[in-house]
Amino acid sequence: MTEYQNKIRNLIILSVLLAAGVALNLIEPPFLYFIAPGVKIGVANIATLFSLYYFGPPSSLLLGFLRPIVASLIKGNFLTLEFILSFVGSIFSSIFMIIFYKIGKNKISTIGVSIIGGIMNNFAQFIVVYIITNNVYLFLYLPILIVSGGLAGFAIGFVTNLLLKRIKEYENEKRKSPW
Amino acid sequence: MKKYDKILLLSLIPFFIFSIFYFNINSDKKYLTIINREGEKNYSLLENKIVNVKGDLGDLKVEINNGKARVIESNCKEKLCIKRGWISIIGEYSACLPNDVFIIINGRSEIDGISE
Amino acid sequence: MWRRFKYSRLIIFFLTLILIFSTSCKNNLYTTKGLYMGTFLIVSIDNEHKNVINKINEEIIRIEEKFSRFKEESLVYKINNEKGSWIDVDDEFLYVLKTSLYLNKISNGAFNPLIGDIVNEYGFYDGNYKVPDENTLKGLLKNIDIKNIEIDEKNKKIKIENGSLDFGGIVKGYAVDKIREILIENSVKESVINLGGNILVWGDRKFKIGVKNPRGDGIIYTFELNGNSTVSTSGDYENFFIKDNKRYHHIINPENGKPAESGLIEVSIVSESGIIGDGLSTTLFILGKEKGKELIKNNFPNTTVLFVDEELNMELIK
Repeated sequence: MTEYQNKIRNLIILSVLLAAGVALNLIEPPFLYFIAPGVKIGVANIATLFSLYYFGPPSSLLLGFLRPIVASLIKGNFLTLEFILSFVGSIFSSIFMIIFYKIGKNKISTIGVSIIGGIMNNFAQFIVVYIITNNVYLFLYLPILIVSGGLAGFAIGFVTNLLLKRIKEYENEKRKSPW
Repeated sequence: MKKYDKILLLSLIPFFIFSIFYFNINSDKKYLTIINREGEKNYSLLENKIVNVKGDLGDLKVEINNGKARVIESNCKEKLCIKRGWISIIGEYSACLPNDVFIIINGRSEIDGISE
Repeated sequence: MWRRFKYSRLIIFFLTLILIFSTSCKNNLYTTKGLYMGTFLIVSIDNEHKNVINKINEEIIRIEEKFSRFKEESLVYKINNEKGSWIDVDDEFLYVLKTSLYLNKISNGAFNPLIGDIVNEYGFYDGNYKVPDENTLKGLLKNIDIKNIEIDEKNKKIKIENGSLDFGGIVKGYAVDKIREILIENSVKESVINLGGNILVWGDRKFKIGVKNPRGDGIIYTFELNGNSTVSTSGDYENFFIKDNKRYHHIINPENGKPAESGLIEVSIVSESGIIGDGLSTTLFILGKEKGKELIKNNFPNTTVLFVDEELNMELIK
């Protein structure tokens, strides 16, 4: 494969990942909503996390940036509060996942990185809500958000781990890309 | 699962313990704050009533009952605010984001009662 | 090995956290809510004296069954329905009646325990609101002269010729006083009683009590009180209806039988005595600011009063 072909391949895979992330974002059932508004399992984060391990930090940051925008354009809530919450959550979790991915290297696995992502997603949204409402008592609710974010991150990390393993296996077997 | 993963998971435990304790704290000095584009309003949680709140898409109805509050009517598309259900613990909040309305349970450590 | 050591340190950390939390929740007051005397009762009491709540509820029911206008077994009901005959009463009843008459005297008739029939004519008791015509009012006004009440103190009997007794403006304050006696008897350390907006704070600390905003939600003013104070508030927002753009509220001026128009919409009283505070809030609401100040200055110099007028301006008198 030439380098040019490789670039196109990566671009296509990234686009597919973005589309998958957006689709997951749209279809995700809001059954964790009873904990707090904006709290979700965050299945769309699978796409971001996967790209972080498969392509590296820059593409995952790109995904974290584009996914909420595209999803909100489809939903029709671009630049509303709902969008801002999801956008800030996505960007924050991407950035912190990259940081921990970089400094952790061999000591932290997909699951750990994903836990950080889940926590930071909720934490960032919480900060936005706090800035809007300016209500100190919200801080009493923060631990619940952190725990639910962490557990959701654990689940996402577990799934992404499986996904990465399967794809690595496939690549090793066939000595070629699964795409 | 590597070392740091486990440490991360373990570090959730204190927060978890806090949450359990926190759910058991029952304060009667709490009240409800509703925030919309027009500003902030406070409501007593002691009297049961239904409050109309102006939202971006139309009026919301917030029910206050026995120290709990919830959104019972909204004309937003996803109705997540209604699915959120009751909120009752200090700091707990619910929001109808398309309407730009927040409802929050506030602590009121400083007031012991209201004379009316 | 070192890893196990680290975990044990973590566990110790969590345990300390638990300890901190369990100690910080200790001083919470236990609170119950209930409906008595046609209004709400909120009792907050320190955790060691939860059992006192039952006694408080029983006491309130006892008072209601004696002083209610509506309960057929009550003394007030009996007196109102057997006009012109002498009825046996007890010391407690005489005390409440005499306090009413005392307030009537010092307010030149602004406080009147016989106003019940007129309040009823407006429909404030049953919710069938209507504005009575002038002739009906004139007829009823003749009956509310307190000379209609005759007291035979020796034999503990009373008789009323006309009108009907209504202690609604005073009995909640009296109940608050009786609850305080229960708190003392059971050596309760800390408690906040709220009976339909009549508040008693009890305990060895500063309390903060809000005064309801008469034209909206929330509070308009906050009193900072020592333990053992009562707060009573009267306002035109409690029970009212609007007809032809005019607000008819339940605090009737005995002079003309119409809802009091003194320029005030809310009066809040801080007093040591619940019964006096409750009666005074109604009285001052009817009298208005100037006459009210005079009355306070001459009779109750230790009382704090908050006046709220129609423009929501507040004036505090200490």
